[in-house]
Amino acid sequence: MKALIFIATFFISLTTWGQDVKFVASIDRNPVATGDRLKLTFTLHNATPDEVRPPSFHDSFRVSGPSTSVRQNYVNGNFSSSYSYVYYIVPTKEGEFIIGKAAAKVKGKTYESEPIKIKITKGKSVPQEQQSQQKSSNNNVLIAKTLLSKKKVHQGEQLIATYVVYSRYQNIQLVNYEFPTHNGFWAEEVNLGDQLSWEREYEYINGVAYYKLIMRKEVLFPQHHGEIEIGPFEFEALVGGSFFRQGTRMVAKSNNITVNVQPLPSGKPENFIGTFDKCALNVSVDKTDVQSNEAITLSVKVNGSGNMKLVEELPLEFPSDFEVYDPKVKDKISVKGSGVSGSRTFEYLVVPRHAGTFEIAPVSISYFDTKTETYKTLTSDPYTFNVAKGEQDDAEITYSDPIKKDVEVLEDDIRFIQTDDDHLTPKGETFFGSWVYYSGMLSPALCFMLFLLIRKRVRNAGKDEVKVKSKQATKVATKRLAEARGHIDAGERNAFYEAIFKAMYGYISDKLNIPVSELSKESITSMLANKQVSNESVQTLVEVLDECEMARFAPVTNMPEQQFYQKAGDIMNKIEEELR
Amino acid sequence: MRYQVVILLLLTYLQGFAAEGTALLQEGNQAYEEANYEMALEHYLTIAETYESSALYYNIGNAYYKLSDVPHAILYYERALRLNPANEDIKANLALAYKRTIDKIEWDTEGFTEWWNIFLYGKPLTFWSNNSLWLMLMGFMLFTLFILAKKKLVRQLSFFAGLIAVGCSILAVFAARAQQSYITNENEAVIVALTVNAKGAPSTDATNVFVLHEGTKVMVKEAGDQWYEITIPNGSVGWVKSETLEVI
Repeated sequence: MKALIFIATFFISLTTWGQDVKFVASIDRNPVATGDRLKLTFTLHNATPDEVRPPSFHDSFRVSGPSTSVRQNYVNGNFSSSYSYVYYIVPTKEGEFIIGKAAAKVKGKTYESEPIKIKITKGKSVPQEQQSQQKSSNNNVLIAKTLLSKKKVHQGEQLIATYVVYSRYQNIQLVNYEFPTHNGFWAEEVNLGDQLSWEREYEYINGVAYYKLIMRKEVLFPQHHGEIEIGPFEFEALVGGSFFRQGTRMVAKSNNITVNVQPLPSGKPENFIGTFDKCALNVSVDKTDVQSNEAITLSVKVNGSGNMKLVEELPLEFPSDFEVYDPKVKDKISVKGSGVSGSRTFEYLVVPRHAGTFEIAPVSISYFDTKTETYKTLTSDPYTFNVAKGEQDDAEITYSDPIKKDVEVLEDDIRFIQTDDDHLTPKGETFFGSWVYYSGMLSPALCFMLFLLIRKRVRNAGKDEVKVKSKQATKVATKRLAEARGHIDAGERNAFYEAIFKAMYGYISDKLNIPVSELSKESITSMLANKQVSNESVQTLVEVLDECEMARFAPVTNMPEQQFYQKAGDIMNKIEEELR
Repeated sequence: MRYQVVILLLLTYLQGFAAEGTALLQEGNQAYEEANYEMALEHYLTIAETYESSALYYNIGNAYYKLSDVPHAILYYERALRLNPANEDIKANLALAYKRTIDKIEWDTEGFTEWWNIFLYGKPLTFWSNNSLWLMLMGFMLFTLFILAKKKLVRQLSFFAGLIAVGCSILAVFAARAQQSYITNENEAVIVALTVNAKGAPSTDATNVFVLHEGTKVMVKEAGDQWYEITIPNGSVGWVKSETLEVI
């Protein structure tokens, strides 16, 4: 039995799941004459709507509604439900019109109805006053009021608007109501729950007791300074109706209210995020010691009461080596009767690409504090990250550099060390430029010069000896001749000839630079001939030398000694001249 | 005879220094071959305190590379290349090391494309300095021959050959000088810190101008005590702390 029930419920749930969600618009007739009443129905099948947005109606349409109805069916195992929104429209102008799309939101998904084209034909004319006449007689049975928590605020400061229905009777049926649209305010509606109910206590207005119904609460944020007007809150109700009677149609309208919005004081600081009753900043990271390419989550949380939805991304500065992804925005915002409060968190996913020590500078934000009516600045703590080298090699994942990544490494190992060619030199002093080098460079030139010098010296020295000898030859010879002359005077005949002989030989030996021992008449003849001495002179010289030799051994001579002396002297002078 | 003595003296001068470090170098090479890179590096660095040679720097670069210290590997490869600008081994390993750096900064590596530069920087400094010595010696020996020779042909030949030798020697001196200035100008540096923010002014409060990572080669414009003014190929100029880089 239990199993059966289980199976049954299983099938029911299956069939329920199988239904399609549809949002359909329909009208009860087409074409319509002006002044006739047209029923416009939007029906959502098989889902419960979270929100229904009606289409915009043309100005010439007089619209009332919507009234809602729910229908649930269980037919042949099929469970179906439908929500209907019914509008009654009285067209006042002829022509062709389009009723735009309506939208229904179901679990975050939006369904739209098709637009409908309607033709309005000419019927009876609709007087403008007709309805207002009908609604005019109120007599303070119904009162509409807009209540504000504050009438004087700063720009951006939240205030709460409450729309209240006051009624003398409890059995009224609200047919139509309209809240003001806000111009110059950012509005957030406070969720008052599904069911509106009368307050338990009466409220006395001008001594008369009224039932009170809070229709709507809104948190308003003035967007600019100056006087901003809030339009009237209007509603239409059927009063005193019963099962048989529809009741009297009555309208109530609240007055316009003006809010005085003061501008924020001058000197707005940097990184201004808005006006708050209170505000806190909290920056946190999940870790500070990571390896390269390891992701870090950095959260920046702004906590406060005020318009949190307007808090924008903070100007965080990350090191350029960090790859930073767009932050994830997480909201925890509650709209309550006391105002809007909560937090907005920006979660940054950052990946340090390279190793090193990095710092994320402190973030500063500023806001206008409505309590102290001054600007306040909040600063977070700086964070220091120690990024160690990751296991993956940095160069292999250089994302910013696709060209470099393309390089195909064919040889992935370095070449081996060099074991030969070890010309170790002392550091800092190279051989080139050292004194050894310079002396090495200069020494060949110096040696060469030295060589030249010595060679010249040796040559010069040799040359001089010969010259001196030859120079002195005549002198010595003259001296010896003079000696020989002395022998004539003394009558020593042999000694005379010997002196002449020596003088002549000595002279030639010195002149030709040949030792006396090597001299012979033949060698003298050839040598002198070589030295360009004339044949005649050489002949005379040989004659003189012969005569000297002869005279030394034979007592008879060809000529007297005086004459011979003269002859020897002459030939010597002659040779001297010719040798020059 | 005199010249031979001079040559012998020079050779002993050169050899004398090498002998001390060579033993350590052998030990370092042995450790490297046994894949004991820490030990090899230790030996090499001890030698490098007093001596230098392109092979030594190259081996240090290799040891650093094997120990995954890319910025220092690059630093020593660059130093080795300074001493021996045409060595293919050094070029190849340096290129490989640069592939492992982060910043895509490309210096004009095609600088020496002209034949005279290839010729000039293709040989190490010692090549030029040694050859200038030999050529000078040869030139004057030829001059001596010219003086002493009796035959006319020998005299003419030796004279002109001597002139050419001395001329080449002087050219070699210029080549050596050019290389020496290339070796000793300290205007390049390698970033050794992991990440460096180059500042707009020499102060920690200054704004960050650009970011560099380890292993990137930069030009040093001005070297102060604590801050170096550096420039990168796109023309950006910034200041970094002196401990974040090493001058090549």
